[in-house]
Amino acid sequence: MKNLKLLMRYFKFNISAQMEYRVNFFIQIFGMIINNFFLLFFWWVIFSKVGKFGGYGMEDIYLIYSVVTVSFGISMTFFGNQTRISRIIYTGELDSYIMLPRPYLFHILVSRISLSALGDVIFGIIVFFMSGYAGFLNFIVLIIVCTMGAVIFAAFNSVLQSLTFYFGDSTAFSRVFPEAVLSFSMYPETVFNGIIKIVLFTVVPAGYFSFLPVRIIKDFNLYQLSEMFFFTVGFSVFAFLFFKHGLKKYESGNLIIKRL
Amino acid sequence: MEKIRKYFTFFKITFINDLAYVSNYIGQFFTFALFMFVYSFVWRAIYSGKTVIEGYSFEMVMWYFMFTETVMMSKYPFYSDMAEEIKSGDIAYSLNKPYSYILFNFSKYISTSVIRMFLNTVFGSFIILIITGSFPVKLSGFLFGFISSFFGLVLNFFFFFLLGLTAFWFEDNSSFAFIYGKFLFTVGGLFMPVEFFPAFVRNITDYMPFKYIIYVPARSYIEGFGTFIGFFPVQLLNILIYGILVYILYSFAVKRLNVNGG
Repeated sequence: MKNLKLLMRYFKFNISAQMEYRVNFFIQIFGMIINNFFLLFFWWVIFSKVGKFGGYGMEDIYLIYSVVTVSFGISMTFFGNQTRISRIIYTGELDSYIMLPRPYLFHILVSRISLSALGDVIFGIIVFFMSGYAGFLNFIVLIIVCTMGAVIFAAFNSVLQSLTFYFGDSTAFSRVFPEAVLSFSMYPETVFNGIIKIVLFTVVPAGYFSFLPVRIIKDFNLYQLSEMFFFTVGFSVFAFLFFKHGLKKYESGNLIIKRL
Repeated sequence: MEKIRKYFTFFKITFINDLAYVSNYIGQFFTFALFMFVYSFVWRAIYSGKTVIEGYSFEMVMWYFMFTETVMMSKYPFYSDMAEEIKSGDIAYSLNKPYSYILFNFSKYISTSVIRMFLNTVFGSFIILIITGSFPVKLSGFLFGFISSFFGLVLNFFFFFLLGLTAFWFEDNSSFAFIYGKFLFTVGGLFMPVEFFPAFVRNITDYMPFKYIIYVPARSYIEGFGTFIGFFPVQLLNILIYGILVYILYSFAVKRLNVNGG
């Protein structure tokens, strides 16, 4: 509960800080919404050229984009530091977190928000209502599965970025895998087959980030929802333990900084 | 001659510096290979039951995509450095030096971009050969595609410079950069050849500069001299128009500059 309060405090604080540049705030959000609509162009052309393929049509693509952008948006909005953990470790900025009485990883994750990610959430909700699956109950399911997806994405980034504890600066390496999750997530599940499908539910968890949530919304199934829930909890615990274990290898750089 | 020599020196220094850190490109190669791998699955699914769409076979589309990605990933995004310079006031250090700020940025940009393009073309061709197992490209296309890409990069420079200039008016220009990127994705022909577009969109692309940055170089790679020379006059015309526009806007923007302290 305390942690949830911390998250909300940081969120409010960061939003009010960003509102100092109000025009910029709205440009970033609307910019991201327009940006995402451009991505649909590819599918619009393809479906007008070849019709449905692999059992997927435009309304399914709207749903996939909705799930991915809402999950990604929630993740980056509330856990905005997830792609900076490596940098925080190797610059010694971590000192300022480990002196405070809060779970370190959680505190790092929530202390920054990404504004343009709010645009992703808004875009995702708009295209959800354009998909053939819009409805009140489905919307609730969307929010639930996307919240879990957001946690999975943050946990995945945390694990990759924590590799810096073990191998030194892992920034370049930890950029490729989240990119892979997003790249695979934006396409229909039926496109991928064989060994690649196993990879997408293990090493690169695009399956849990996009394919499974889409399946749950299309055809609600308590078993699949539980599977997603247990994966989310299990993977988050793993991310925290991995970070905690890595922390033992951390040596302070005696960096003095002021976090505003 | 003396004037040109200093820009060539900027070019040379950046070139040598980039060559010393070729290992920095490994991460980019991974991303490049990943995109092509994912796309091969998507296009294979799209082509199931079809051999040719709009004159392109699956193999040709994959090679086309490799070339468009090559150009796309070669562009050095100097606009973010430029925006940072403008916001921090560091631009004052560049403006009082005896060189043109536009040409200084151009020398550095084109040097890094050309190296990237060369490495991406070699690496991309190797990967795509493994994925498709075929080589539906004219060998001379590599020469004319490279030349066309060079001019595409020059045209792209002016758009990046315009993005950098937006920092005079806006705190953060990343949204504009995203949107520019999406114009290249769509009407620029990054994901698929312009021939795939509905007729009315295709007509619009003819009047936009974006396809001369992505689509035209990629097609020149595949088809060689004929395609290159066919599009070259309009590509040059676009370079001229946007070059003049950048010069006018830059002259106007610099007058807004107000640097305090030292």
